Amino acid sequence: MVTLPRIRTAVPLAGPLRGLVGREVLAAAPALTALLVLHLWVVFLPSIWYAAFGTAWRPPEPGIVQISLVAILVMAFFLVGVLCGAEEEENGTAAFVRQLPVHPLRALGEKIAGSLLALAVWFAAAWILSTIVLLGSRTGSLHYTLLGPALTWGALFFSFGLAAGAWIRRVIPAAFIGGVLAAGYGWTGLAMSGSQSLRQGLEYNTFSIPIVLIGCAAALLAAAWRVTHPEGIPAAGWCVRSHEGSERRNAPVINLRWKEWTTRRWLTGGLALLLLAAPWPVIWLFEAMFFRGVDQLAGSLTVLLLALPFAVALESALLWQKEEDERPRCWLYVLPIPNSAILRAKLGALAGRVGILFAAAVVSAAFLAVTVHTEAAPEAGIARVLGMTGLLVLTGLPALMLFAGTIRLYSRSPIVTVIASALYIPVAGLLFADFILRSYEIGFGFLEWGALWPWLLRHLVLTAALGAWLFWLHGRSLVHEYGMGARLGGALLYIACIYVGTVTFLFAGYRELLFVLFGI
Amino acid sequence: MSNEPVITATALGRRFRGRWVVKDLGLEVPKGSVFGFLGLNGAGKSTTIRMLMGLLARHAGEARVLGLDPARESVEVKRRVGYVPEAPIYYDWMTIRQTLDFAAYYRRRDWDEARARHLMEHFRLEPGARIGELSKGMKAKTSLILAMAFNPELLVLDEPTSGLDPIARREFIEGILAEYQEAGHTVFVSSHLVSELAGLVDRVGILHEGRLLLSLTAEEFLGGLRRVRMDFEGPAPEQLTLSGLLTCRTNGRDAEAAVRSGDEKAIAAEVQALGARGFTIEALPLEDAFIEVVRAAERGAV
Repeated sequence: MVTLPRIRTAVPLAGPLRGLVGREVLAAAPALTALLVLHLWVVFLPSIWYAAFGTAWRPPEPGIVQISLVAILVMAFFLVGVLCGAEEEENGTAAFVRQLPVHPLRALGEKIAGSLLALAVWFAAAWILSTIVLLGSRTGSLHYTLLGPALTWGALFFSFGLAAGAWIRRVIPAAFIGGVLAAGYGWTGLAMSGSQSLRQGLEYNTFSIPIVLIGCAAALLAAAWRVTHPEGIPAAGWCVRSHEGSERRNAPVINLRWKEWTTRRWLTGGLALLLLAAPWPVIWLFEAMFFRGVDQLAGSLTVLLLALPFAVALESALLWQKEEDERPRCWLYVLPIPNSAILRAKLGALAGRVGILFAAAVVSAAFLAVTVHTEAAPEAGIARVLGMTGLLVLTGLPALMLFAGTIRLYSRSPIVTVIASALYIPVAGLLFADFILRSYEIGFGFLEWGALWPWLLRHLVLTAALGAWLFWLHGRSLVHEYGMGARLGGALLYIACIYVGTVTFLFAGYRELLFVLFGI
Repeated sequence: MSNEPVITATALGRRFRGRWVVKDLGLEVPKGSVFGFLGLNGAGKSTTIRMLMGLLARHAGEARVLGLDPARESVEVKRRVGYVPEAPIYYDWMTIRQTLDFAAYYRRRDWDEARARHLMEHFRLEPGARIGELSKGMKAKTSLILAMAFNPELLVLDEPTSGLDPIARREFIEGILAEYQEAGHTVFVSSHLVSELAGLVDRVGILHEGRLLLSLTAEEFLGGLRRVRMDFEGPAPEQLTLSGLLTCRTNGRDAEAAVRSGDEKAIAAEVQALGARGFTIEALPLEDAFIEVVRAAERGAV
């Protein structure tokens, strides 16, 4: 037998485990980058607004920086956990990892290490950037009193996201179910640890560490069990995504509309339920902290107002499945259906889904209005708050839908799409603030048509512009298979045109807003 | 067999990132023929097919499929043509039956449910099985049913048998496709597994690096190529001077050459003139003929 000499390489070969760590860092990078952009966007938007329409730059508010950093930190932990657990299973590369001579638990450990490494790098970047943008202000960076709760919740969400991802093996459902479970567990734990003095517990950051550790350990054990048992639970004969196929009763008409409605119906139902339930933890929390009446109403409506756009962004991010990622191989495009009909059917079904979510939010808000006792706020005031909220959401959602649908054609990851789409939410908020302030300035009542139509017109123009962008991208750009650079260039040019056009023709009265907002 | 072409392409071209993947492609597929569109991986076969189906914009030239311009009338082209893309993607959550019903809805004018059921039984597919749980071969069978169940006048198959087991492959080629051909339909089939198309195709087009090297009937193609094996007294000459020489290989006293000629007498005369001690002349099977032509193209001899 001939023994071949070992080949020495100039660069040491990376072992498979090191490779897994690196893969996790790279895999988490797009979502984390998008989150960082979202954080900076939220922090800087008022300043950008001010600089664009005012006379001088105004640094970001430290309070906004802190709140944003805490929220983004928890979200980053959660999403990275979900990606760590589900992404490779969903895209099929987990099978390759299982072929490597590595024990599944070691592979999981390396993946977790990679995820935490990515989070550490990201958090350092976010912290440094937050501090830099505030020009050394001590209150700009994340204060240590907030860091503890943020990391605690982050650890909890990471573990639950990882477990849900490992079990469900699909990113979006895992994010949904894992998020609900983590929030439910966290809230329950918080209530139990705070007992009668929840307010005191929150103020002094006495979140029960044992409860968090138990939750994290249980979730990590569940994830570990799942990766060592890829076939599921033999005794129960149950395994997610390995059930037996059965002949189903066919729907009367099986077409694109049916397909769009049938797929993800559970997600839509779940999101609707979430919207119905979302305000209640806030109400209980405020109740425990003795903030009642208007505070409760405002807090719960804020949660609803944030949850609904995210739910819509999530639905919109799933507008295209693999269809557009691998269009040449997609069977849908082999059928004699015009591209415009595909787009129409998809957007129609999406609008229906968004309608369901909006209806759920309206029911939730109405229920809040009649349930929360507000001595300080008369009924007319509540109706006004609800009307404002409803109008903001109703007019902003079509544009958000189209925006998210378009972004999805640029990004293969629904998670990144949702985060990128969220960039639109604070913009809509600012535009709405502009509308309210200008309405009051010119002496119109809030819900009068005279004040309403300019707002509707702006959103109509914005929606039409986004619709045209989506139509171009879906119908033309993809058939021509433009490279990503060309498509991004086209998008930037298009955004610039929209921006210039909108600012020039529609926002001529921006100075009044600046005066009211910033006193100049 | 009518010579009326169902596919014509003139100077067809497509580039990606400035590089021409298909260039100056001229193609004519007669009605009722089985056209074997052969080429190595990356030769431009799928790109050409996608342009013909209107799934990809062309950057040069003209194309007509069933008299229609695929770029402008892609929906009508797709309505009339059965197309099996390479490794197609379906909706994993649908059952086979639902997938067929979905396609039937958009082909309701032409859908032949009896044929769909027949094919499903032939391929032994369970209608209630979910697409996401099917093997690669079963997905390939599903895609064949979807392409053939509405009896299209033109069937375009892009690597149709990849993933099929040998029995299913033979059943498909010798059974279903042959039956389809006998009914007078046209089949345009691309493959790099050339041997499986032997005996089936009646026309051959060979694509290499985006250019169509040749387009002939199978008889012309195979009848016009010969392999010559020679042995010499001493070392075989390194350069063989034979008319229409495509490729040659020498090994000591032995030499082997592929020539583009069907005139065995003329070949024999030339070989004797070279001083060969003995020789044999034989026709090439389709796969060997393809390989020799591609090798010659890589040397610039075609």
